[in-house]
Amino acid sequence: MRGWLIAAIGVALVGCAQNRPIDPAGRHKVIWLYPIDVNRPMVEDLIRQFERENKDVHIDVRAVPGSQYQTKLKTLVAAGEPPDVFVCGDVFFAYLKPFLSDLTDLAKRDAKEVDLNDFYPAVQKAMQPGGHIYFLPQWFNVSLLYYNKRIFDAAKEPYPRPDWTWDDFSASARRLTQNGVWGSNVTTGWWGEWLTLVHGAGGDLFDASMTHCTLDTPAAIAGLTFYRDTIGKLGFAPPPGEGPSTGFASDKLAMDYGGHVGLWATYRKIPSLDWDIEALPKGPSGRRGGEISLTALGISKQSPEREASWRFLKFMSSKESIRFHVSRGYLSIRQSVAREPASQHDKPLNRAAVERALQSAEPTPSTPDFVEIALDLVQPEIDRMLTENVSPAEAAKRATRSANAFLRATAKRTP
Amino acid sequence: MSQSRWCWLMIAPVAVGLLIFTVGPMLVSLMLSFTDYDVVSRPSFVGSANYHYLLTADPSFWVSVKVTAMYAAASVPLGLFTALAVAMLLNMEVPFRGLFRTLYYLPTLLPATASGVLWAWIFHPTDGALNRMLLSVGVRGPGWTSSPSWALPALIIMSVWSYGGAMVVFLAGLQGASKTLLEAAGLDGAGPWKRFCVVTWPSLTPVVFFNVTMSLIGAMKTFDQAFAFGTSGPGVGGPARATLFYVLNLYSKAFEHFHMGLASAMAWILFAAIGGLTFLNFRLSRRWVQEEAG
Repeated sequence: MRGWLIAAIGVALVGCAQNRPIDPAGRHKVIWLYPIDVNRPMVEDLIRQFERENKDVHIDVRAVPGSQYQTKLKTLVAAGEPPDVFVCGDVFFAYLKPFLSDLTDLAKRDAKEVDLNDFYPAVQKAMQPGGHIYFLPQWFNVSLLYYNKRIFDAAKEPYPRPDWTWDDFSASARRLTQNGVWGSNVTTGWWGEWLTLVHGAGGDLFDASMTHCTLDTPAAIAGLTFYRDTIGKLGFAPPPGEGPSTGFASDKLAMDYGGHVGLWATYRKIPSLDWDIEALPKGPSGRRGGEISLTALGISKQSPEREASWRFLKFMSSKESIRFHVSRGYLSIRQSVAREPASQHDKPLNRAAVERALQSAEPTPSTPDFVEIALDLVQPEIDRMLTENVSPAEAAKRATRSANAFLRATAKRTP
Repeated sequence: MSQSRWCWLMIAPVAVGLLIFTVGPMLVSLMLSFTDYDVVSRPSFVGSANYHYLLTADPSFWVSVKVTAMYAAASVPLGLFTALAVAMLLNMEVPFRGLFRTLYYLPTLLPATASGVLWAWIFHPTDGALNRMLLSVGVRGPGWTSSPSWALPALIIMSVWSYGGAMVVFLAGLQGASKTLLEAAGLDGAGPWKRFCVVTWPSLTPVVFFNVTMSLIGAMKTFDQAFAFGTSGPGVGGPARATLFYVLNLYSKAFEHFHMGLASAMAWILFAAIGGLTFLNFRLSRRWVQEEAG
């Protein structure tokens, strides 16, 4: 009886062990935690292509709603069952870094295939934090100035130029604000616009050590003041919630400040929308201030399938995959593919603007607490500044106080 | 087997479940409230630092307390008044009374997240049904979802929608009111208002007490409507944290930023607050609830 009991417990323990279940076809199974988005058909096509070329590997896609992605990922990591491959490279990289495998050795070994120099220089810099490679990117977002050519033509207004400053942008936007058309929009709910303007004015959210919030400096306040004035004194952007619900796609916004390249696919589907792009205008500091964010895949430190996962990452960032991305409306992250004629016939035509934007793009602050500070502590004060007549200086002071209290408490709590 | 043993055996499944799935996690959360724990690292003991930070330094804690208190102060009386008014109408002898009772209860069956999404559309500043209706009569509606001043009132209005549960309890209470007393009061010349005040209301007070207690606890735990409302429109917590309810704040700390220690401390503060308020409610009820009535 006792022997049976021990055997039963043994079987149960073996069943609970964290060995990867064997793929019925005997292939290496790579689990990819995938955030569900509009790209799913494209991603499925790419996986089929990869599996055709790598018959010994099976990509097991675990799809999660995008809004729940970080929660699901961290829960799996906490449970000791992280997926082999997950999305990183964006603002969550600093938080995810402890769970990511350092891929520098593999990238050096397969340098020819990875072809690092083929990525845009700004992308190369962003994909090697601290000189190490933790992920390979598929595409990138960079802040741009979108403009509606029909509205500009109707108003006989010259299109935005690469050397535009805030004054030029503001003057043009004010002239274009008429007859139900707004010169520009105000981006609310996240840092996309206000942080760009803070950078443009010469300010920053944090000091170099990332331990102190510096939003209350005169330069940062100047950036916030310009942001607030777009709906106030300058009056070329609609107050929050009062603009067209479909934004730039509504054909009622002459410009969209800080829009991302992820919007291209959507805008291309609106035949009546005649649009192009330019790099963001420069602020008083000479900085454009826009951010760069990579969409990339990394490998879990605990992955039992590091080698097979690496093959998948290389494939997803290969020229073949990037061409596939471009054919679905995305911007090429590889310079060689970007120069191919097939990449250049669709809107926007002014592709040189992307390179200009990339040259000056700034990565988001590399602290694990950035998202929490920006969205939960600073953003409410920014909202109040836009909607409740709170001055930019007062909003900046309150936001800085909150952020620094949080940073002090975090530093104290961290052993 | 003795009766006592049978009794223990019968309640064992529930008792064991309660211990494992409720009391156990509660005790773990109490321990975690004194630690810094991000789920992926080992918890480290920080003493009362989480409670201290929440009560003295966290910029969102008192905001979420204020939002929840304002919501409870407005939505509980409004919801109970609506529920009582509808229950009285549905208690009248009218044709298709059963159908009306069903129809008025239906919104309660709609999941809160679904109604949150629906109301976010109704309240949309430019394309929402409410502002379009207001515009058709020449009134420019406010930015319900984008204005810090209007986002919470929008959620309070939305809360009235789920009066069905309280309405059913009121309806049961109204049916328990003594018909003899009502008839006698009528014969003595009492009008409808007087009859309500001296006969119906006293018999309803235990039901009112029950509804007040449950609605207050429900209001303090508000989460799903605000979460769905936020994710469908202005973002979780609303503009300028105007709809950052206490439990929404707790959820954000726990599952968006993984400050499990802080979130556990918030949960225990809420537990103490609800316990204290319910105790106070019971003490005050002695003054106005007529237990022997009905």
